[in-house]
Amino acid sequence: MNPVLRTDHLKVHHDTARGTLKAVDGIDLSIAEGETLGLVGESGCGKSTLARCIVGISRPTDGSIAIQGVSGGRGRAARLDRAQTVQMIFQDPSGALNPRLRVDRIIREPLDVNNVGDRSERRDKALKIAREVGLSDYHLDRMPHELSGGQRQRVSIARALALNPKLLVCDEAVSALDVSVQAQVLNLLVDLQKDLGLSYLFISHDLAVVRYVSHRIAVMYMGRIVEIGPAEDVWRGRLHPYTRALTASIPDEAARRDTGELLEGDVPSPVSPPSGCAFRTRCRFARQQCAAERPELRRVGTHEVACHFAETISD
Amino acid sequence: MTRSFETLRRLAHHPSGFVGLMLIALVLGMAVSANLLFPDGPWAMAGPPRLAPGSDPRFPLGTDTFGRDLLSAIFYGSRVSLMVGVSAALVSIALGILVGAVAGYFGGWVDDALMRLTDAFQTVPNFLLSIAIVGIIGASLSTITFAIAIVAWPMIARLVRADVLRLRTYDFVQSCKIIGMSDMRIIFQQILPNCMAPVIVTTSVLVANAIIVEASLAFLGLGDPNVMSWGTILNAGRQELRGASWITISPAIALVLTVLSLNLIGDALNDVLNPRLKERT
Amino acid sequence: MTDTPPLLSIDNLAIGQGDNAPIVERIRFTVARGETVGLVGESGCGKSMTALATMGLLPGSLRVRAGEIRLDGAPIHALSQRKLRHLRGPSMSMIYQEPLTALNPVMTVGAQIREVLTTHLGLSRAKAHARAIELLTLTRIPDPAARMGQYPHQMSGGMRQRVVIAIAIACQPSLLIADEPTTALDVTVQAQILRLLKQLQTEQNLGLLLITHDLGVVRQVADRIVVMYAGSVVEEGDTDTVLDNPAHPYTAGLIAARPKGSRTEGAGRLADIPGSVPAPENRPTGCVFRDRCAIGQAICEGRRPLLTAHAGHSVRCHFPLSAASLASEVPS
Repeated sequence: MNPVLRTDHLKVHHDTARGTLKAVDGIDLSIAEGETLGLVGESGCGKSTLARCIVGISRPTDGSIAIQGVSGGRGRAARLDRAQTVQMIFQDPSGALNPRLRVDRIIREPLDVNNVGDRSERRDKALKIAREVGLSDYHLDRMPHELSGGQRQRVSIARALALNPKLLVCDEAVSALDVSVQAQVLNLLVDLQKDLGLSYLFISHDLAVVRYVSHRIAVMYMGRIVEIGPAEDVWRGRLHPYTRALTASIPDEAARRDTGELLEGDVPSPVSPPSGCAFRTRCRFARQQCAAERPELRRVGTHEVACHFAETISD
Repeated sequence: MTRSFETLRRLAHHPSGFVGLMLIALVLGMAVSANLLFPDGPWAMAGPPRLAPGSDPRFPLGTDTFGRDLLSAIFYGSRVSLMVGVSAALVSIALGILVGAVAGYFGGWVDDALMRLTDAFQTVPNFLLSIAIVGIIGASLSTITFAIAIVAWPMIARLVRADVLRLRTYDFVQSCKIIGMSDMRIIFQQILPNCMAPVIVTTSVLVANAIIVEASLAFLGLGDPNVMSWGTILNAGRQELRGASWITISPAIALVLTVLSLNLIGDALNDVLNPRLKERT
Repeated sequence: MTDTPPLLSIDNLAIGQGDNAPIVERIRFTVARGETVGLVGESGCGKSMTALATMGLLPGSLRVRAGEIRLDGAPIHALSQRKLRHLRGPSMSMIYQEPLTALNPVMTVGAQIREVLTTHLGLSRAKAHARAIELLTLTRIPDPAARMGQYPHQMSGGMRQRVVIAIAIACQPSLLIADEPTTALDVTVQAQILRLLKQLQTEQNLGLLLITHDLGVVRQVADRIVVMYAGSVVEEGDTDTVLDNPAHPYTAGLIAARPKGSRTEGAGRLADIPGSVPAPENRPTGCVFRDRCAIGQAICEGRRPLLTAHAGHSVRCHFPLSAASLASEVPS
């Protein structure tokens, strides 16, 4: 069976005044039906660029994206085809809704654009989806600014679901919400996945949230995946020094503890990345081989990791 | 619909908006009633020449060098001023929005090409360009309107482009692309309605500006010879400035009041459409 | 007990606009010298307004309508802007969420730090320069002398926040207010900045008021926690006591709403709090939390609970949770 999403050697390089910026530098990943792939990494690691490529608003410089086995082409027909299979939920629930349109129109728009059924069918469908995501008729008559942040995010989700897509790309979809509302939206996303068999590419900087929702987790650093595997295996059996540093940096909510060794410095400039392993400049285990040779993703136990010394290093 | 009504209501409650609206209503009233009150038209030599205001109750503003009724001329002149002002503004807004929106949305070489064109128009002194155009293709109401609009659109284009550049990065625009909406529909249905506020505010200034340019052209003798505009009266009264200054004074006052009212409306619109700006000061 | 007043004491504070519903009502808490207090709550709870009121920087037509703010025992809520200006910097200082907008984009960071030193402390240019490098060293910025000549946009988010912190502590204030100082930063950088704040606080004996929505940050950094909801303090006490045994249903709800563990290993549905935070004009009568509370009863509607002592901390609830009832209420 075809995976819902498959990318092969996906690259997005931008030419800048200072050199080539490799935002996404060779990403191979796949998401199965009904699966959530969590994607974590620091800002600028390329996770949002990857998301934009997958939904078709950025064009890859190299490599391919296949959604349900079909590689998208360019042009309007491809745009409409892609709209039926993959949709996106954005971080800022107010920026994602046109402030001048009423909520019912916002939810109905994908149906209008794709000429699904007739007018009344579209209206019924929009109402049905709105109810599925926990909105009522009352909300449909409002303007976006009259709704709370959580309700606006529900509107975004309803709009994204209108065309019955197979894959939802959630780019920091709950990050701007308050904790109590965040839980509501996360529960909704989990329920929708069960009911509709949706797949998610779930991007977040909040590792606790990613850990909770994901079946598998991928860790990105400077445009490449450094570790990927089943969620709890990556979380507990983290092998890459970067994954270790990332998880060690999360302030624990359950108990006060010493953070120990912190990752020093910042992510290097993506225009002139270090030779060999991109992480070596911040890695306390770095050796000569790390500067000479770039580690490729390789299978270690249940997951894959891009580190020469994954088996030998320990905390 | 309800929103534009609401804007109008708040405009009428704004002090300078109220004064501006009253004045412009007066000018509109003059334009509409001109042929009812003066069925003979502005060119009729109705009385003795150079009659001072107040000396004959039939001619409250007096007469010009040919004995034409100045009040009638002012009434008919308001038609020309308003028509040229509004149509020139509309043409330049349509052009400016088209150029600005396309340049801002598509970016890249489209943007470069369109903005260089805009620069080209802005480097030539506006009024001189208008004079040149009217001088070359001849003076009629439509050429004058065209000559005014062609120099005014770059301002709108820049305004709209800046707003579109900002809005096209918004997630709701990205979301429209993701649902498969066409670029033209995204520009005109989704983005443009969100950047109309500054355009509307600028419109009143554009209209005022167009009225002044039209009057200036007519004053220089480049007006449409077949219509009586305020500029035409000014031009005619120029030689009589010492002996019969009222001939120039009354159209000048009409011009000043009209332009003032439009600027007042512009200021008020700015406050009404950008309530946050006012709060901060 | 000693007679020395706490560094910052906020008593019965109410903030509002004209006759509108108050945004913050009857807030009460203190920050001692050398102590970190975490002020926690969701957006719209009034935590940032409380901080701005303390700094005398309330925006627009918001005013302190009742209550007192005391710094070192002296009331500061009624001071003129001119007098407050003399306090900001040498006595109290603030850092914000977004370091980029807190810095002037067209001035080098060195010039911005020197400016604070010359205007507030009257240092000479040379002395200010030396002190600025010292401050950057204090905030653990590598190669501080070279950094002095850089503009904010040439630095990373973490470095910019260090510069903001350097400016905030330039005049050696006794109170530092940090409003979501790490929210815009990545977790690895957040960990660095939190450690830095903690170190500076110990070295300089600062009173630190840390405003955040992140319970993990509070747990790691704060000695005491003040939980706000809809303009009121609902719970207050020692951080570990409150977070281990929350007595207010809202605090318990916040903790339970955070995801723990993985769904693939059987972590159940998240315990969300139904509804959303009410706007100031829509807050319910009686207890502000009652319409979202699972254990609310008739008395909660009729009478606003007082902040009362309960098992080592203070809670504003008619039916405070005990450690035992919590265990059955919130599955771990």
